[in-house]
Parts: sequence; C-alpha cells; structure tokens
Amino acid sequence: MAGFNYYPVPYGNPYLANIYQQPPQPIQPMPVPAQQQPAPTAPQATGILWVTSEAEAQAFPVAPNNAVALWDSSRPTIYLKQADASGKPVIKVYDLTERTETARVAFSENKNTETAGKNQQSEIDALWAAVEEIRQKVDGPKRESKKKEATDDDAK
Amino acid sequence: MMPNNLMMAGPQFFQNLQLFKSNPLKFLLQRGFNIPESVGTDPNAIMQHLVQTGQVSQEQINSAYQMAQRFRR
Repeated sequence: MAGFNYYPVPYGNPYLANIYQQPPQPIQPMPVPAQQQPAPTAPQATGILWVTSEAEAQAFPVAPNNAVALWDSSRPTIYLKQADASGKPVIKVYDLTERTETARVAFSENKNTETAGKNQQSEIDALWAAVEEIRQKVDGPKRESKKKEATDDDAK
Repeated sequence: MMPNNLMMAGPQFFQNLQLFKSNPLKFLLQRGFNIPESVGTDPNAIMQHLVQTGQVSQEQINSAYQMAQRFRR
C-alpha cells in the first residue's frame, strides 16, 4: 500500500505531528554556567626574546605581576625584568658563564671539604701544640723572672 | 574594546608593522586602543600604558615583539 502511514497525522493538530516526526532526543545534562577561572599569573614563555642592549631591555614593556627574560644578542647576558602589582619594573642582570672542566673539578673538590676539613683541623691542632711548646720555652724564663720580681717586691 | 592581536598575525603583518613604525599612536588609536594624550607619542611609553591598563597582555607583547624581530633579521 503506497498510502500506508505508520504514524498517522490527525487533522487539525500540528503539535502531535511534530511529536511523531521528530526522532527521540538524547537526554543531555543541564548546561552548567561557566565559572570564571583565575587568570594565570605566571608568565607563559613563548620563546626567547632577544634584545640588543640593556637599554632595550629597560624599555621592554612588562605587564603588572609579570616577568620576562630578555637575552642579550651581543653579550652573554640575560635581563630578568619583573613588574609588581602596581606595575613598577625591576630589572636583574645575569651574566652567563660557561662551566669549564676546571670549574667542574673545583666543584667536585668542594664536595669533599668535610673530610679535607677534618684532616686540616688535626694538622692545625698539631701546629698549635708545637707553637705553644715553643712559646713556653721562650716565655718560660721571663715569666719565672717576673714571678721572682713580684715575690721580691712583696718581701720589700 | 580589546583587540585580539596587536598586529593581526598573517599576511597583513608586514604592512601593519610598517604602519605601526610610521605612527604607532595613530595605528593603535585606529584599532580601538584607549591611549590618553598624557601618555605621549613614545612607542615604549604607549606599550607600557597598554600593558599597565590591561588592554594588552604580556603574551601579546611578547609574540608581537618576536614577530617584529623575525622581520628585522
């Protein structure tokens, strides 16, 4: 039958027709109102910012509560420019120094300072003992003579 | 009004950069930035005013500066 209709539309009621023709809608959760998220205060590094001089770094605009690291293209220097909540900028200058092999050796030697310090302390103690012996030998007769003088004065 | 990008990255960037360099105050005023006369015409002072008043974010400044550097090289 060509005219057969599974969903007969009654005359004079368009609302029912809409109900029959629309596919079933999936149940969706109620939309939650978007909450305002706090703006990130940490600066997001997008890459290296190069400057040609310290004056250019001084002139670089910095937003309040932000910081930028500016690399000097002519010198091994980094300028860290920060601004507080009022927008007052403060610039710090860092010099880049390469850690060479000798510097690494010196660093590793500094790690062993505790054991070296103990050995040095014992050597220093031994030296102090030797110095004290010598001092007693040198100052001993004088002190004895001074004591004698003092006893003589008391006798007088 | 807060424009999304200072220079509108894309093919028009170079043209905008030239306009900005020729007259930064006019360029920015035409794009809806609020810059009072007391700020002056110095580009650094203008940019500092824009970040100070929140019209431009630090990320926008950084990206615009980096893009300008690419054309400078």
